[in-house]
Amino acid sequence: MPSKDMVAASSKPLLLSILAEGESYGYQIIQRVRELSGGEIEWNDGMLYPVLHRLERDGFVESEWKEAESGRQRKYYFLSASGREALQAERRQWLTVHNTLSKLWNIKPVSI
Amino acid sequence: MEYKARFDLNAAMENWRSELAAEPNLTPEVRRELETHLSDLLAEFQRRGLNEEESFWLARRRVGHPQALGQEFLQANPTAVWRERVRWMAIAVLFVFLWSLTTNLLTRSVLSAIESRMGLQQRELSGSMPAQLASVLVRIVPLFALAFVLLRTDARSLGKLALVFQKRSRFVMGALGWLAIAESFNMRSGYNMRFSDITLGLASWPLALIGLIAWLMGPTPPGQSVRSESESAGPGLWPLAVIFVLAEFVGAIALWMGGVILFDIHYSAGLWPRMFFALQMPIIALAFVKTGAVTAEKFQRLRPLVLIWNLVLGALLTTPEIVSQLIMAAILQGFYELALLLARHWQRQSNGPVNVKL
Repeated sequence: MPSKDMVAASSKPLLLSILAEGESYGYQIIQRVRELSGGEIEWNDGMLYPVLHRLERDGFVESEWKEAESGRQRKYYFLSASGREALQAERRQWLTVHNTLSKLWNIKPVSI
Repeated sequence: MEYKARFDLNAAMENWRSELAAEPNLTPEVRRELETHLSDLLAEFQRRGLNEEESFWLARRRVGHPQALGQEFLQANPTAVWRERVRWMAIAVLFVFLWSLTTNLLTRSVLSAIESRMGLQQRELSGSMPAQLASVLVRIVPLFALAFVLLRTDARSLGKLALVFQKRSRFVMGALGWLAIAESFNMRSGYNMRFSDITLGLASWPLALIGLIAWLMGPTPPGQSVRSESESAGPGLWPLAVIFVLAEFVGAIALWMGGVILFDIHYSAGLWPRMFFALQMPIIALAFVKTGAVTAEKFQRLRPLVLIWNLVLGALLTTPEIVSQLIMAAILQGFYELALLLARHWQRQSNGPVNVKL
């Protein structure tokens, strides 16, 4: 299981990438992270929202209250244009680290 | 037989809501969002076969402790949190102002009724020292008693209102301290009922105005707020109250030394209300910078304007004699500079490194 620091550092690229798939709300995002990581990355539910709000404040995501299919009101988040740019920057950074480690561990690097 | 009390989901939810509402760092919108999350968790756990009670406690745990959440939200968006705080400060100040006005009218009408009944001259009784003291006590004591009771009592015994109020009481306490200071100055400067109203009125409008602006501004527009990250939820209004008290005292001492001692100028009571705006510069700067309404840089750009204003004010407030006019202007400018320094400090403090916890 990744350490707390790793989880914290990867929260921004993870959130931006998940929202790049389409708009989503807090609960769904946490489910998605759990599903993608095979339960290895466990986010503290309540703490997700401050991170989302910070991304919103920085202009990377926008939000809107909408009615879900179940009839419940939920706050949906979606990526803004600058959020897409931020995601590209994050991607480059993570892949750079990834490729550096890959060479040392003899894993095939990915093209950035 | 079933002895255990039945678990009431609605009551439990209601209780949880009021716990969230008691946390001043959680805005109503955030609380609504957290509630939708809790409901989703509840539904999921029940689908998995847990009963209502187990589902609720598990979901509650997963969402997190309200206080810890409050801390996180303060770090994520301090400007939104500060808007909420300033709003409460403004509410407290206005409340105190209205309270003071009401009690003042009551004591005054009672005293003048006694004066006319006993055939005394106007203000013969109400102007006397014991009557002044009594009227100050009538104003302050019930307020402090109320705050004390609300701070000390078990929140549950007073219901939801107290729970909400308890967390905000430091804001209210700050306002009370401020009132006490204002009153004590009034006592010293030849107590005059009407003057004290003017003082309080003038002193409360800047905060009320800020509260109104904060209210109108609503949630922070994305990417437009002051960048501010690391800051502890910490002391709330206390630094404000301390600054305010310091400003009052420094202002009083400076005026007294500069005027009475050096130049033998005796300031009229009417001077104080006019001084209040300048003395409140630091508090206004704090409210504006923290709520993201104005940056320290914009505040600095006002300097030439403030200088001219202070020179004019200095001339208006003192006798037509250049030295004391300049001294007064210098004191006023000093308050502006102090406010600017503090504004820069607060903004810098808000630009520290990000510490994400998940």
